[in-house]
Amino acid sequence: MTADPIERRLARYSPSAPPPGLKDQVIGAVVCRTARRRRMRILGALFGALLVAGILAQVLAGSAYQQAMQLANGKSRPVPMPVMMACAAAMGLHVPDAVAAARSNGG
Amino acid sequence: MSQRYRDVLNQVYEQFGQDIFRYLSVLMGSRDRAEDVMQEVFLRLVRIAGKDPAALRSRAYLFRVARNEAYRAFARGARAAAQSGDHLLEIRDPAQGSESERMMLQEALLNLPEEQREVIHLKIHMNMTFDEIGQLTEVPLDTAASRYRYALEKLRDMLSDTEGQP
Repeated sequence: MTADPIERRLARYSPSAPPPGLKDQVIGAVVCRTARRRRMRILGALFGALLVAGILAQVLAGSAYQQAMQLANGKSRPVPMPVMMACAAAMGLHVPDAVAAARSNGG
Repeated sequence: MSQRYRDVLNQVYEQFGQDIFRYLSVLMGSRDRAEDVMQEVFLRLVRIAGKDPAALRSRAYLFRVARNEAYRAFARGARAAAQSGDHLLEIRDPAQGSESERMMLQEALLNLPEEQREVIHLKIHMNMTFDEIGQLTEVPLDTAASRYRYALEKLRDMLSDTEGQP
C-alpha cells in the first residue's frame, strides 16, 4: 500500500472494463476490413495488369502496323518478317497484301 | 482472414484486451474513442501476426502498438474535449469507494494532460515501473517520474478540498 493519499484514493478505482460485446465487435470489424482491403488489392492488381496489357497491345499494334507499312513501301525491315507477321496475326491486324507479296519476293 | 488469424486475435483479446482497452480509454479520455482505436489496434495486429507472431505475446509490445494507434487517432483529430459523462473509472471495491469520489477523481483525471493521465494509469493501475513506463512512452526514466510527480501535484490541488472523503 502506497503512502500518498492521492495514490491511495486512485488505487481504489480503475478504468472501466470494456463493454461485453466489444470483442466480437472488434474482431468482426477487423475481419470485414481485412476482406475489403484484400478485395481492393485484387481489384487494384487486376486494373494494373489490364492497364499494362493495354499499353503493351497498343505499342505492339503500332509497331506491327509501322513495320507493315514500311514493308509495303519497300523500306527497311528491322524486325524479322515472321515475327512481325505473327504479331500482326496475333492481334488480328489486317496485313496489306503488299506485305505478303514482298515476303513471297524475298522481302 | 483465415481462421488461424482469427484465433490469434481471440487469444490476444482474451489475454490483453481488457488491459489495452483500459489503457486506451485513459489515454483517449473517452470510452467511445477507445473502442474505435481498439479496432485500429487489432487491424494492426493482424498485419503483425503475419510477420512476427511472437510479438503478440508481449504485453509491452501490444501496449506500444495501442499507444501508436492512439497517437495516430490524435493526429487525425480525435483529440476532442474530454467527456466527463463517460464512465471512465469504476470502483474496484464497493466497500472502499463511492460514486461521488469516483466522479471527482474521473473529472480531475480528465483535466490532466494525456501524458500525465497515462503515467498515472500505468503506475497506479498497471503497476509498471518508471523504467517500463519510460520505455513504453519513449521518454527517459526521469521524465516519466517527473510527469508522475507533476500529475500527482495537480491532482492534489484539484482534490485538496475533498481530501479525507471516503
